[in-house]
Amino acid sequence: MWIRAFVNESLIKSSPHISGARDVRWIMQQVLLALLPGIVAYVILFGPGILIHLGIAAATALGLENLALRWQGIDPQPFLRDGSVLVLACLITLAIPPYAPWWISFLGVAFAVLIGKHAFGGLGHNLFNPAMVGYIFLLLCFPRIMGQWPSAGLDAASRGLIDSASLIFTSAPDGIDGRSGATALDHVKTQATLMRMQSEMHADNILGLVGGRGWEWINLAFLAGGGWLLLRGVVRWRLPLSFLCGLGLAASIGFISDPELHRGLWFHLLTGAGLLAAFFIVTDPVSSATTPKGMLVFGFGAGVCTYLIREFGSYPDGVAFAIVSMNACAPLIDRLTQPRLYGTQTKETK
Amino acid sequence: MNRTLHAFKGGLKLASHKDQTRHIATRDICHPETLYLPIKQHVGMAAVPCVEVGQAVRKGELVARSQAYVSMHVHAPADGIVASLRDFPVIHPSGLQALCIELSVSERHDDDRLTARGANPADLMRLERHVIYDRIEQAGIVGLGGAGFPAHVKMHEGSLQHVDVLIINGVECEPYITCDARLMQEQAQDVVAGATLIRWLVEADACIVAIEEDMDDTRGALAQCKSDAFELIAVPAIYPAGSEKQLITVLTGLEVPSGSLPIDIGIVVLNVATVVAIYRAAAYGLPLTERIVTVAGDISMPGNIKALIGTPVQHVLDQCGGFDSATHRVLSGGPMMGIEILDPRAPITKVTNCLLVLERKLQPPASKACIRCGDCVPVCPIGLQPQQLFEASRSADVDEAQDLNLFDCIECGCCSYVCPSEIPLVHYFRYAKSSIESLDIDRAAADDARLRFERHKTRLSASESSDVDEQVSLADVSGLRVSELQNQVHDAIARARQRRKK
Repeated sequence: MWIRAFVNESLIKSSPHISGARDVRWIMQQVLLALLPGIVAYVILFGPGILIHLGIAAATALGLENLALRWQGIDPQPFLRDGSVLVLACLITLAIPPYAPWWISFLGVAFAVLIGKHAFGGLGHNLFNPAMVGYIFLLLCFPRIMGQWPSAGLDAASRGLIDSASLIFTSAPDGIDGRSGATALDHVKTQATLMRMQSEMHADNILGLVGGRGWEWINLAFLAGGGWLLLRGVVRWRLPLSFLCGLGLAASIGFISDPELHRGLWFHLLTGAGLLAAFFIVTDPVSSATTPKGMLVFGFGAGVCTYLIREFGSYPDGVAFAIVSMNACAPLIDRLTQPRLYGTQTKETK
Repeated sequence: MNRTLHAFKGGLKLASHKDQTRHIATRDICHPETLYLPIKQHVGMAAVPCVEVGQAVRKGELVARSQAYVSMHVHAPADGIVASLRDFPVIHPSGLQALCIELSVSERHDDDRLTARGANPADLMRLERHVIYDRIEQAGIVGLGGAGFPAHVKMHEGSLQHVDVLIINGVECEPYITCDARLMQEQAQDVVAGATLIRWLVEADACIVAIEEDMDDTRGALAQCKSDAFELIAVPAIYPAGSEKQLITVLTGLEVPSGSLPIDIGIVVLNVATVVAIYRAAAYGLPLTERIVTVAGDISMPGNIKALIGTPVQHVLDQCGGFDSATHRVLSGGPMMGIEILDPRAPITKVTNCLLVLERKLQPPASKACIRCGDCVPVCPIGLQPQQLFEASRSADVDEAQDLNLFDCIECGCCSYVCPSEIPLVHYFRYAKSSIESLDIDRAAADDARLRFERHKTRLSASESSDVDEQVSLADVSGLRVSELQNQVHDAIARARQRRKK
């Protein structure tokens, strides 16, 4: 006889008794794989510094996740296994200049994991995208360090691993001044304040072909990774497409209204965190909208906000602030975009 | 076959696993020594036993009588002696027990009762309709597809309103289950006769027999009968196409309004096994005492078997070669909506369409945290937001859950199936539904108590008053009040029941 008393509830499984193949671990693995082309592009253009920061970030993320869960009396194993915290670490690292001191990525990840994620209740409960929370924290606290990106493809790329490590672990924040400069977005913004017209900047080396030297290639690498995620069904089209539409449309309007003051569509799509955001940040499921229409609103809003902050705000890239602002609206968006239910004539928005 | 089919929202393409049993003829098994007949095998009120311990009963004899409109009789599936009336393990999601009639089966005296009445639908259609309704009710027939709604109630409701379409549901969308497919193939004549009869009975304008598009043998068998009483339509094999609401949409493009029944839009849906049972009851006066059960999964002799109602699950499985209970578990029903059977002594009931033996998988623990990936949204056939409902259900936010239309959930399991965090979403939704229902019942009970108190108070004040006229008027006033409150209580209970029915 195989009678099982209804004592241990976990033994009894409620229907359905079969499940699909996807699990969170698989999803996170796909995301990490999709980030690889982008990371490779970073290494080629900026040298191996990012790898060191990735190591620091991953170790910090896993360690603090473990601690935070244990402190709450939760078994950390399933959470560490699923890889979501590694994705978080990767996303923050990609936003940090590759030769920033080591404690930058440590602090960023620590803030993201502890405040961005666990203070809100852990995986699945964070209102804001934790990677963006960590990045904004760094940007507000250490604006100088966070603004100093090495010039792509110059001496940075040829730097060796040991050289990079010594730079990251030993150098004072000021020590990197000579070897780094602003990004294309920074450049456009500072030059504009100097009353230079966009047409006068065309020849500027830093602007590269379309989206800033180096950045356009990095963005294309993220596009490749994102395309793969779309094909694998990890990411659905609504969020990335609506984000790119929002950003692109706003940029086009700006460009048409005054081409001398504003750069156009392709620059905005291919510079800064444009495509990284479209496929890896806007698509963070936890903090974005989840209804089909809501996703469109969320992505479009994030795109427009990104453009507005880039063009009119005081920070070079607007992605982080745009996403966090839209995160705050996500619950409301979800509520207002409930799809029509079976057997109802109009959508219910009680 | 020219009808345009419509897609329903959501759903899943599942591995069907039907080839395991689809091509094996239905077989008889030897009967057990003891049958356990739960007095409630249907939606509605339990029947009341009308036999005594020690009493000898004949096959087909009434052993428990329906005492309400939405209730059903239970008949003895074999000759025997009533051994006891007691609580016994039944197939129940939480492994609860229920009152059963224990019947010690005597030597089987096979007598062919199929000669009792005229079997031709044309003959039956010369009778008064209420005679047929009566026969259906007397035969104890409930929906055999799994819901267990008393058939005569559905038919009666159908007779009160105009019926545009009668849909006979042979779409077994759950994986593994093939009992309806085999039934339609092996007893196609009865399906046709039943469809003809019921179409006449409910005066339906049209009749559709719906099957799944991969049921080739079934289609062949039914097409051979060349009946013009119904259209035979094969629908795409998307789970849950066999669910009443979804099937209606696929076939007609209509949607059953939220909170309403199919009959409100002029549609009656009956499971195909129910149709055959109705025909037999009408034609031969046969009560429902046996059914076809699919036995599938990791078992050595899978197939469809004819089992007496009340046969212990263990007996059926033993007859099919048994299984390893250390590594496997048994479900009643399919893998998407079935119930795990916690006690092997539990009997087969009128609604048990499948016994499925599945391996007990030991998976590494999942974090079970909702990452709001939204995978559950596009698969929900109702258009709910399972990830939002989950938060509301988990935090016991009753109002939020109802605002998110919790009670429209049909518990098909698509959301749980796709959930990458392996969250038992449907389990949460069921739990939330029953919590809300019990709240409603508590509220109704509180209203009832208040009502009694107020009656008591008016009685007291009435007896204190010496003026006869005043007493009368007071009684009148309070009487009004009382009936009004009583209505409120009844409404609340009716609402709770209505929800449970869904």
